[in-house]
Amino acid sequence: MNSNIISEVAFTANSESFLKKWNESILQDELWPFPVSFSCCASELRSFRGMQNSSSYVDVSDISRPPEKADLLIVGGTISQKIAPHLIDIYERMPEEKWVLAVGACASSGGPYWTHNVVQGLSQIIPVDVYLPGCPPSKEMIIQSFEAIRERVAKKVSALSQTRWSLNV
Amino acid sequence: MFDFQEQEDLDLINNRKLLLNELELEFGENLTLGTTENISIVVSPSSYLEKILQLKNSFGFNFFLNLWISDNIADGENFELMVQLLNMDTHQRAIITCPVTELEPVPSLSDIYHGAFWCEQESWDMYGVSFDSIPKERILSPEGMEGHTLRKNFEPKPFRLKQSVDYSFSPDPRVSRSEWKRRSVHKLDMFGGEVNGPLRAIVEVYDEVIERGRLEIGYLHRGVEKIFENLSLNQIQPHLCRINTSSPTMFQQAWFGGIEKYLGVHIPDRAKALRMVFNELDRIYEHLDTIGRIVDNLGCYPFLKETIEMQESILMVMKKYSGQRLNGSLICLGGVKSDVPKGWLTECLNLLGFLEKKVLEVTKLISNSTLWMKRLCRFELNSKQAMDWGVSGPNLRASGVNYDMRKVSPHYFYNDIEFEVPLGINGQCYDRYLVRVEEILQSLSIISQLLDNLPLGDTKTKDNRVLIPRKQDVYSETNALIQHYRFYDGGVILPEGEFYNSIESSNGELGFYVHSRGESTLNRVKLRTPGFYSGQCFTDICEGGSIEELPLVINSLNLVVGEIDR
Repeated sequence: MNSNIISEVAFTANSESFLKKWNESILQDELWPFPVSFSCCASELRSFRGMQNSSSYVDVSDISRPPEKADLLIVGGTISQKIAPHLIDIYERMPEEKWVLAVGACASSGGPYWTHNVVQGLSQIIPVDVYLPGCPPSKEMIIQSFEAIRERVAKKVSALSQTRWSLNV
Repeated sequence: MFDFQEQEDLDLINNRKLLLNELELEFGENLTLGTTENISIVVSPSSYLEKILQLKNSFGFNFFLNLWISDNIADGENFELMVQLLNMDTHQRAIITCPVTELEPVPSLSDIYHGAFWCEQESWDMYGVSFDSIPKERILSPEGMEGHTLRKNFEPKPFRLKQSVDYSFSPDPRVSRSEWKRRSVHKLDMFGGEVNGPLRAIVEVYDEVIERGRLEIGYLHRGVEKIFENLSLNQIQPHLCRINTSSPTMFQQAWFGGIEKYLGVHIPDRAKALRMVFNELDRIYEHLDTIGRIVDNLGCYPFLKETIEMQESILMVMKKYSGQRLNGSLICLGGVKSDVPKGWLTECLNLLGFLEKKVLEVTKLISNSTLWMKRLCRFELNSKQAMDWGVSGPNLRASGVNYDMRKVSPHYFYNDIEFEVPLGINGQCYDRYLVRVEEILQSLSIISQLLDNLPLGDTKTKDNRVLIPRKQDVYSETNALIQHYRFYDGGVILPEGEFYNSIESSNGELGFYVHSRGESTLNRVKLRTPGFYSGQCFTDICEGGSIEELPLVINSLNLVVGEIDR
């Protein structure tokens, strides 16, 4: 956050617009993710976390953030029937503008697990913005996928808004 | 000169013979001697509990390994209950078989061996065989599902997940009812990477102190055992390394080692040594993972970066060999994937030097720090509790029990290699941490000994039953072409029978029970994963802690949920 923005927004009279501008300026800087990761993709997300420095676009070093304050949901690993309602709950608790990243083959399409107990892809339960293939994808691929998310954020396009548009809601 | 080692071996053989003679006198025809370490005993349902008690009290089978249902009889109604026990003095394993049906409840073993509790619950979940005093609740499958998954006639139907599950605890007999009513019950979802996989802890809290607690599992249940029943042996390989991704080659070693033993396939010495190198590298990786998670829970972020850097260095060496960072299928049937690439050995030796320097550097800073000691010298698990629950591996050794399968029933070259088994004293989180640090250093020494004396020769067996022919031979030679089609069409076929193979994985005893009917797919596969038993002892450990410390307790036991849920 540079000081210019603070001086810019500080002179607005309305507190609501001040907060709005503040929020936008934060969004320009970085996304606040909420990582939910289970199996092999969890270890790759972890190693990504280890190599991360402060200048990175998405900061996953702090995992104690609640979903209400996050705007990027990162899901990695196999999604079982038992955990699917929890993921929907987390997604619904997130604020209005949100993006979803499915990391790895399991979260994208069910992966090698064609069983009764595995949800065949995250898109069966919530709209997904970016799919990342690989079993597990390397950390370089994870960084690239954030670039794709960044493009969508810049254009203000998300899977949720697209589904709404197509359904005319 | 008098050789103590040989004397010990002779004593062991004599003791084992004595035990077998006594068992033969007692059980007579019902006893069958399988391989050297496994015997099987058939008991009738009426005398089931009595015989198990007898085995525990008179014959010294004091360690509970596993309990599962198998449908070896193919009529869909009658099942076989199998209990596996271990005598820790003679390292004798016994499988007790008892015929059961879904109609009559079986007496529960959870009072004799506490570790049987989750196993019996799983038996109801998977096969519908109920046990006395065990609640008929789903443990791995979602609540609200119809049918029992592992039965051969199971057909999945769409269902509604039951949301309102009762999490309350039964009244505590230790305190008065009015005091018990003042306690509150909390659910803690750990889905965001605090622990290795999604877990839910349910705790009963009074005045911010945990009085009782238990874990709820099943959030990563993928039905691996069901998948194994529907695939041929070659297709199973990629699934093995994804069960516990921190140590993929351990599962491959236990699986392929067992099949090779069963078929009588001999693999070359170089392959054996390389397999051991991979296993030990995995052990280091997983222990570093555990230490990193403990550090993370305590908020020491710089040290987390150090451990992740060390893990990365191991992954880079693995990548150089197999092309994939994690989950590279390093071990295959009849040997290892390929010979080591040029310069790999030097790189591996460099890695050992780097790791040793770094591990000593990091642990020197944290092991004696007051904060570290103050936070970790808690959550005690004594040796009796650990043996009751069936906890094995570093968690058992941290409680002071000297039992390492690499020493007591060594496979490959573990006999010829010098290493020590580190032991803890109190079984606190601090002991579990220290045992893991010491095991890393011992594993480094094992790898350097192996690399110094790496045998020359092939890395794959020449046995025709399991060998995949080279591609250029398939195009030119008829025999290779036939072998190619036989391998990729039907796969390797195991002759009718059953076997159990186990190794010392980084978390404890990891075993595979396999029953084959002589077809291209297997009839029943049961995994003995160490996390399933360490997870149950959470009930004993968590008392007296606070809610923020729960991830620390779970990580000090190194519970990998992919391994528990399967």
